[in-house]
Order: sequence, then C-alpha cells, then structure tokens
Amino acid sequence: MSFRTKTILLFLLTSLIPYLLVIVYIVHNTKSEVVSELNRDIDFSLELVGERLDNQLEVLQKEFIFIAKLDIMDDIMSQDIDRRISNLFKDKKADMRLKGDFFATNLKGKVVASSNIQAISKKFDFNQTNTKIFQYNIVGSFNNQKIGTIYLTYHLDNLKALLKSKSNQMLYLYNNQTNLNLFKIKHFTQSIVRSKPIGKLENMELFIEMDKQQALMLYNHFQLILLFSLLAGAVLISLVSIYFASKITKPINNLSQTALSIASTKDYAKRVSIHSSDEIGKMAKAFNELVMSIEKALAELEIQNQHKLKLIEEKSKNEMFEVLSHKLSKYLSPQIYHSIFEGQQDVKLESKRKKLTIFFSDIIDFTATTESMESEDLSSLLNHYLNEMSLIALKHGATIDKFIGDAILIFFGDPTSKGVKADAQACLDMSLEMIAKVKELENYWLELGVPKPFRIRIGIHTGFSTVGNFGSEDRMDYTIIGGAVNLASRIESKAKPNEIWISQETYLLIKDSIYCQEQEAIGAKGITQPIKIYKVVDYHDKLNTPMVLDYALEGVKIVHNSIEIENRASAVKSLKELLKCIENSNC
Amino acid sequence: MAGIKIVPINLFAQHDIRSKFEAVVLEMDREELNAYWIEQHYHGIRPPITQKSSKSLKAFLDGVEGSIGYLPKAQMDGTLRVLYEF
Repeated sequence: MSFRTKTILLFLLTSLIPYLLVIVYIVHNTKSEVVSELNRDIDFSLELVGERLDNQLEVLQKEFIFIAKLDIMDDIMSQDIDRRISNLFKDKKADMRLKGDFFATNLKGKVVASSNIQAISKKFDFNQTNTKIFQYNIVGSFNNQKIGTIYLTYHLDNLKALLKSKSNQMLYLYNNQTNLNLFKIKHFTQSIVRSKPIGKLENMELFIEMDKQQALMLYNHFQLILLFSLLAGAVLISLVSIYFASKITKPINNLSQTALSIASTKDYAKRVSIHSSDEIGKMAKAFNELVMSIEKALAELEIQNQHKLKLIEEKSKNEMFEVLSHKLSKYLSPQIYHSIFEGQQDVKLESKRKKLTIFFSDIIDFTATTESMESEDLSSLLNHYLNEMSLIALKHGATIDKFIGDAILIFFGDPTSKGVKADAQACLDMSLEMIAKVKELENYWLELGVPKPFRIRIGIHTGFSTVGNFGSEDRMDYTIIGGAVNLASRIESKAKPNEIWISQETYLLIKDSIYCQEQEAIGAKGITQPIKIYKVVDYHDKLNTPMVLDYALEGVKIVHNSIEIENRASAVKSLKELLKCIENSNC
Repeated sequence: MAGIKIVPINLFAQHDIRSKFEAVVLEMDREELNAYWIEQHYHGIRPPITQKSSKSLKAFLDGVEGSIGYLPKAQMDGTLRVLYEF
C-alpha cells in the first residue's frame, strides 16, 4: 500500500470514525431519548391539563357548594315560588357559561328550582351522559337541617376548552366504564399515547395522543441532515485527504525518482528540486548534500583508482620485469647484472682496460672421473659443484664470467673494485675457501657414488685486461680478454690438484697475508721472459709463519721475509749500510 | 309550642307589608333594626330569613313547622294560625 493511500486512509479514519461514532450514537440513542423526552413532555402536559381540569372542577365544586349554602336556598321551602333560586341558577349558569344546569330539589326529590325551567316540578334525572353531577345537601339556614339537595349537571363539554388539540396532538377523555372517547377528533397512524386519571371525574381518564410520525419528524429530519452531512463530510474529507496526501507524497516521489534515476544512470550531478522549509524540504536538502558528497567521493575514488591502477600496472610491469630480470640474472654475474640494472653499465658493445685479478679453475680429470656416471647424476653433480663454487665466489664479490663445463672463469675488479690489492686478496680468500669446500664435499660425493673425489686446480693472475661487452649488437657477452686472461689460464693448467698457483703480480699483492712458495717459472706463448709462479700454501696466521713484511717509506721500500733470510748477519750488515747511506745522503 | 323551633320569616326588605310590620309590630325603623341585627350578628344571631313575596312566604309558612311570619289577610286560607293582626 502506498504512503499516499495510507495517508488518505489515515485522514479518512481519523476524521470519519469519530464522526460515524457520533452519528451512530445519535441515531441509536437519540431516537429512544427523543421518544422518552416526548413521553416526558406529554406526561408534563397531562399533569398540567389534568391539574387544570381538577382545578376547574374544584373551583366549580366550591362555587357549587357556595351556592348551596346561600340563604336563598331556604326558598326551597317555599317551592321557590319567587323563582329566586331558579333565577340564581340561571344567572350562575350564564356567568359560568355552563353547559349544564343547576337543580334544587326538596326532600321529596322534586325539582323546585332549576336553571332549566322545564325540569321544575319533575324528579331529578340522574341519567346523564358525559356529565358530571355535582350534588350537595341544602341545609336550611333557619333549622340547620337538610331541606333539599342542589345538583349541578356539569356537561363534560365544559372541559373542551381545556382539551385543545393540535394538528399533531390530541387531548381527550376516556370513560373506562363505557370505553368511550370524548373529544377524540382524529386518528393517528402511529401515535404516542399517555394517560392519567382525573381525580375529580370518576371513571374518566385524560388522554394525550401525539402523532408519532410528526413528533419524530424533526428527529427524522435531523437524521437525514446527519446522514447527508456524513456523506458530504466524507466526500470533503476524502478530497482534502487526497489533496494533502498528494502534497506530502509528491515531493517524496520526486525524491525517490531522483534517487532511482541517480542509481540507474550513475549521474551524481542530479539533484532533487524541492523548495520548502518543512521537514520534506530539509530531507531534500540533506539528500542533495549526500549525493554531492557521494559525487565528490566517487570523483576522488576515481582519481585514486586511476592512480592505483597506474601503480598496479607499473608494479606488475615492475614485477614482471623483476621476474624476467631475476631469471635473466641467472645468466649474468650478479655484479654485471646489478651494474646493468643500476645503470652503471650500458648494454652496448664497449670495453675498457682495467687491472683485474683473474681466476681460472677446473676439475682435474673431470671427463675420466665422470665418464662412468649417468648423465643425470653427472649433471646433478656438476651443478652441485658449480653452485657451491658460485656461492663462495659471490660471497667474496667475484664476477663470475662463465662456466665452461667444469671450468670456471672469474675475475675481480670489474664492474666493482675495492682496489687492486683488495681484489687480489678477495680472490685468494675465495680460492682457499673453494679448495676447502671441495675437500669438504669429498665424502658427500663418495656417498653419491662418485667413484673418485673431485680435485680442482686454480690459477690466478693480476694484470690489465680488456673488460666489457663483446659480440654483436644483438648478442653480446660481458667478459674479459687479453694476455692476462691467457696467462691466468696457463698458470691454472700448470697447477697441481687442489693447489692454487698464482703469478708474481698476484703474489706481491697478497704475500702479507698468505704464505706462498715460489715454483719453477713457466713460459707462456707470446711472453719472452719466464713467468714466476707461486704456490699458495695458507694464511700466515694459520701457519704461524712470520710475515713477509713490507716497509714502505717515502723513497724507501724494504721487503722482509724472515724465513728466507739465509744469512742474518749479512742482512743486518746490509741494512746498516743502507742506513748510513740514507743518513749521509750518498746512496 | 314546646320543642319546636320558631322560624321567623321576613318579607323582602322593600316590601310594603314588611315596612308596616316593622313600624306597627316591631315599632322600629329600618335603621334601628339594622343596628339591632348588626349587634345581634356579633352574638351569632342572624336576622330572620326573607322571602320575596307574600305568596312564597305563605308557602314557607305552610311548609315549615314553627315558622312565623306576616301575610296580607287576603292570603289567609285557614291552613295557618293567626297570631296577630295588624
């Protein structure tokens, strides 16, 4: 049920129900009340008329008795020869405008005087219809004894004046002995009848009969008017309620339609137009403000979404890029990879010369050692080995150039360098750790079924190389080339199993921390001078060997290897001479 | 007449015979009589009843035992006892 309909019904109910109740009450109760009231009115009239009747009769009686007591009544004794009594009777009759007669009878009952001359000398006739007979004993004033009787035949017509009927109301007398009505002039179809005995008239009742239809005519008219007013009221109330319901619901409908329109079209620029200062107007204003805030919020949300979308796109691009680059990084040395991605290194064919410490290693008799293995096992074994070596290399900041089967080419000093000396040191640290690792993994590999444990050899040289991107524009490799590289390879090929051989250049850089033993010099293609080679033993600390100390002062450099000093005295003497030379500035 | 109440009857005041009766028999004039009966009224004694005519007076006398009145001689028919003539 719509709000409009509810409002109309509410209007109608609250207006009409009390109205209806009143009408029903009036219609139901008023009629009986009206009738009761009518009865009361009639009873009152009855009382009044009855009283008047009684009064009239009483007055008459008193008058009658008064006449009876007059001295003139003594004339009965004289047969009213002078007609004094008769004349009196006539006069009284005339005065009282009586319908009826006075009679005076003697003791024998003979009428001696009367207002009706015809009745004189006859017996008094007691048979009188519709007549009240008053009777009183006449007492002689001369003897205080009854001398006769006075009668008054009072015709009830005398009371007619008191029983005036109206068009809707009749007053009449009813003789309940003869069952005859007196003065009833008409008959009502429906009537209200009330009666009352008349005290002064025996067997007579006074009746008042009211025409019920006429009596209730006003009431019936009133009912009709009520009914009509009910109908008119209902129509008016309906119209008013429809009007007001529409007035109330129209802006609400407007509001809901606008809301629906906004919901369907997503056009948050729409506003509801209600210009009233009542609660509906306030609601409309609040609605508009809400829509405005939603519009703003959506706009902001849109901007944020766009921004987030961008970020997400970038992020996903970045993530994808990262994933790809992470995958690609597996094919590059981490330093190369980082230098490219950090923009330090461009991806183009270019190279530079740098002093690098170059590392070569391989597994001695790899082929022979592994020819009896299944390829899956071999692959797994090799990967394990290379992985372990790579971890150690990366740990020390090495740039892994490439894996050539079981061989590894590593260099230090590019793309990042900690200085030539430090690079060389790092290379040696790495190498020693590698050797130790290989030894450590021997038992593990034996358990895997590797028939012979791996033994590696390492060759290291420090020298200038050309480092950079070599190849074609579409396919390039970041690597090192040059004589230093070849030399490192040559040194490596000469190394014994599980040994690290280094060139003199490298040795000079690390000898302070690592004890090395010089080996027989080797020759290299393209290099005329024999190349001094050293075998790496271990850290001085571990060997408890005194260090080879380098003392460097400005203009003076002293290299001291306490182990190799064969003639200490000679060394001391030489040094003293040097000191003197320096003191005297004549070296 | 022992045991019988006397009932005097007068004639109508303007009657000649009454005037004669009052003058001759009662020897009182009307004023005196009025004054007398006024006085008697206060003693509870009422004046005699009156009749308008001698005829009615005669009838009254005929009908009421102990009644006494005065009539013209001509109306005397022997049924009444004459007590006095004037």
